[in-house]
Amino acid sequence: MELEYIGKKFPNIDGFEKVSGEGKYCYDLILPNMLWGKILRSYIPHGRIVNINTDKAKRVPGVRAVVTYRDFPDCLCGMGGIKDEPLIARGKVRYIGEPVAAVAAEDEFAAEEAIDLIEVEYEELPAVFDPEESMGENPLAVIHEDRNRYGIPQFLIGSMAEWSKRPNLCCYFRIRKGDPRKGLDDSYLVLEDRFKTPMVSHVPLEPHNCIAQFNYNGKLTVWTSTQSPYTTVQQLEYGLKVPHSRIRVIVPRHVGGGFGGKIELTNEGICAILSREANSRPVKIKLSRDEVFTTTPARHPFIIDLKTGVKKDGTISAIEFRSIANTGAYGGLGVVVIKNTGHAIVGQYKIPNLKFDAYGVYTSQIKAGAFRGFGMPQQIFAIESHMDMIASKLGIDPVEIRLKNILKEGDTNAINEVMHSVGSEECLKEVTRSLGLKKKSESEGVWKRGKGIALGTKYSTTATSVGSCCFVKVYDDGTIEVRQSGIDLGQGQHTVLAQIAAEEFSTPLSNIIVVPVDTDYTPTDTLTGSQRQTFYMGNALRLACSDAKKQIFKLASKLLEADPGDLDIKNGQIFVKESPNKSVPLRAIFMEGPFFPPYLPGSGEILGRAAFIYPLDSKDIETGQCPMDGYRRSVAFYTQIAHGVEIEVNLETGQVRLVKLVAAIDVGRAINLLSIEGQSESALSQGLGTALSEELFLDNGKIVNPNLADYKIPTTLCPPPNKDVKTIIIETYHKDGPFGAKGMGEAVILPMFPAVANAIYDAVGVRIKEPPFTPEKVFNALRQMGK
Amino acid sequence: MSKERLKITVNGIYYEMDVDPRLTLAEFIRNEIGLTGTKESCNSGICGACTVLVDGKPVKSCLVLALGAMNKEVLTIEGLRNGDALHPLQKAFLDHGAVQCGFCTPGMILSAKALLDENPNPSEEEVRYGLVGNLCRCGGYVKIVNAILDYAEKRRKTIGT
Repeated sequence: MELEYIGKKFPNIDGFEKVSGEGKYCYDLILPNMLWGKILRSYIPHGRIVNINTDKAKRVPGVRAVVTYRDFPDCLCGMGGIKDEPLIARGKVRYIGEPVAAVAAEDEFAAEEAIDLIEVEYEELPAVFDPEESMGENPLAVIHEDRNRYGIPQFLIGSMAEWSKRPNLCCYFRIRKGDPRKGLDDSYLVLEDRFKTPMVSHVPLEPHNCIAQFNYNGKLTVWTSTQSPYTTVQQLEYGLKVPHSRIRVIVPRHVGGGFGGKIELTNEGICAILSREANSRPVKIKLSRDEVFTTTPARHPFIIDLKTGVKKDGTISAIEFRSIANTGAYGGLGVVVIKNTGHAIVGQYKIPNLKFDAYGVYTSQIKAGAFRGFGMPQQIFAIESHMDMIASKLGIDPVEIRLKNILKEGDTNAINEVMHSVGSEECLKEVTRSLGLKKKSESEGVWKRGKGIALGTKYSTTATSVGSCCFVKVYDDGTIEVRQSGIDLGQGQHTVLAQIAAEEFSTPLSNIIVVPVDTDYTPTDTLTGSQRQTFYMGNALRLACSDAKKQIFKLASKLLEADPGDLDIKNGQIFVKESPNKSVPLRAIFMEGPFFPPYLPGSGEILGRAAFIYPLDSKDIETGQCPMDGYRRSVAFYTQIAHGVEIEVNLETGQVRLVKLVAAIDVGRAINLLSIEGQSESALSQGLGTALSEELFLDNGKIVNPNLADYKIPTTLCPPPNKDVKTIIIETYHKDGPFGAKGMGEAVILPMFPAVANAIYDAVGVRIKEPPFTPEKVFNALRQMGK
Repeated sequence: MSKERLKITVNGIYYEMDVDPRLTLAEFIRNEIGLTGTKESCNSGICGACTVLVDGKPVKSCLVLALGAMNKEVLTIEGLRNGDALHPLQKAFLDHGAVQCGFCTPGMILSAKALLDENPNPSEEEVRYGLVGNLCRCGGYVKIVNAILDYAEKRRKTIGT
């Protein structure tokens, strides 16, 4: 059937508010009687808090509250399943930047002055920064002495033996398939390499910020820039011991970027306690750019030891993959990132024999968490670098070796999932063709050109996630109001939902309203992350629309003297499918109220309601395998992506410039062509930044480049000219996706590291295993090669 | 700290207000007169989210004290449109999908306006140089550059230059 609103180009429905400057972000909110909060942070990486003296701070004119751990309940939070983090440091500090005390004052100047007057006495403890050192059996420092009492669920620990003997091991996961040792022994060629990826920051343009107001009646209201409102409710319940029924989280319509960095709690809990101590006045905390860099979760740095064995024709015979992720001082969502890294491997290639071990290690630095791609870009860098290295050694074409090994529709993967909606082959072929991979680049002077490709796959959600709920209210004038708790942080979630509702009711987008998120009124959702919104909320919305239509058709059936099942609706007109001339306007089922707008005599309102739950298998802890008698899927879907890049390398300076970027992505079914392109270009830009320049540098746990001058994200001058940036959309129709759609906002960033690394090799013959590929690194590699 | 009298015109409206001399122009615009379309993001003059036009020139308003704009005419994003009618540059950003999270958008549009006021016929490269002081993290720059080039071309056709 021809669809009217799906698969078209629509500008964002909230774009007018953004281009006009009318749109309000949490950062823009100022409430009556509001105070400003500031946080005093630890300047040492590890130590005991001996004493905190706040007397001088309290005497600063304009200061209304000064709080420390003494004002907080003695309990811990953590959203990944490990509750190891207090809202404010208690007993110990574990990283530079950890909140130790906080102030609320009439203005920011007074709050800052007071912060400087708080005296904290520490007893410094040895700190540990190197994850390999930290994961030993006798590390220099133990980050969490109480780790064994945190009640960490078994599925996050994996092998108890491994976990028990390593005191700083936060989490551990494994996959076992076939006989990897024998597979490697029988291989024609085995490559063994170590890859290291940097610590990277999200840099959303709207800094994390929140307002909290703790009322006398025990109700806590929080306005925040989060991408995960219900997680915020849950974590505040854990950290403040306030029932979730008394917590209201409001997310203003616009959120200025997130990329995974706004999923976890930031300072909402501290804000709440400040408000309680300041006579229930609302308190706002907005992070400075420095604090965004130094205190919010970063992307995990990984050390990856990869052993790949292949047959003479390039077919993979076995893989041994061991990764160590530095997850910093606290587990948080970082644990889930590490837990799911195996999907980067098992979702892409046929691997008959696999040994996979992923370690998440505590160290004395800021915690790592979710970042667009959720751990996949790091793993994919190692795997896709290896594919090219092997192809080169065997004299096989890099496309051919991938085609030989990729999973296809119906294949069973290495953890026993049956693959569905797999577009890898099409993505690869399209990128190869568009890039002109077969044609060698032509170079001039000191700039040597080269081309590279890489594949990637991004799963969405695992069995630890639940579903999405959605309400749909239908007005008598044909307006459809969507109430849900997914966040539009720039990716276009509201517009996708509006298109789906428009399709369901066959009515223009201008008749759809997606209301801002407020947990008092918008229903439960897991979170906005894991590129899950289109799939989960899209399905929930379709079901809620069906529920609403069922109610409408039941009422209209009497007026039209037809069976409800024979009715349909278009542009606010209810009609009999077989004879469309028999119709009534939507308004006909409503009654005029004497004191209020039109209502329904029976139910009052048309309110469609639905939840979309997608059952997934839990994996076996020892082997990571899906059960044979289960759903044969442990993730909702896999989104495939291929990148192709042409670059040039300056032989004299080592600088790398992008000449051409191509992305082909299997979106299942495209909903909004404009936002898919936008997300793809966005990820190409972010991927380019992380490949060429972005890295957080730490010196004894202190981030030394926490600003946009020293941490360089791409400017307008970095990407190639517009004509050389291309997005190719592949559609494989997922059987359970809304109209066949899958999510794609994360997948688009995945293969950039290896695509660029492979292109650098093609251009100048050096293989760099540690991004970012800065001029210094490339220059040194060239010198080592004697070039 | 004692306040000082600021005289300033913002979006055609004349203000005389007593302000804290430590206030930046961005803070004045956002917090004192409530025009939050001007964004703050890095507060160090790098990201360009706070760009406004002062006497027609793009200025990073986080780097200027409010009192430093004494007797100046300031244009913020709110002053660009006429009632419900967007400025055609705003419309171009919207139609091209050049707006994602939108936090860089006001500064981006004002920088683009200043560029086009000076050079109505820029090349793609000139647009890129004109916007080098405005960072976008979630959209990349393809659609932003296209929106500006498309608007410039349409305007040339209308004006006939």
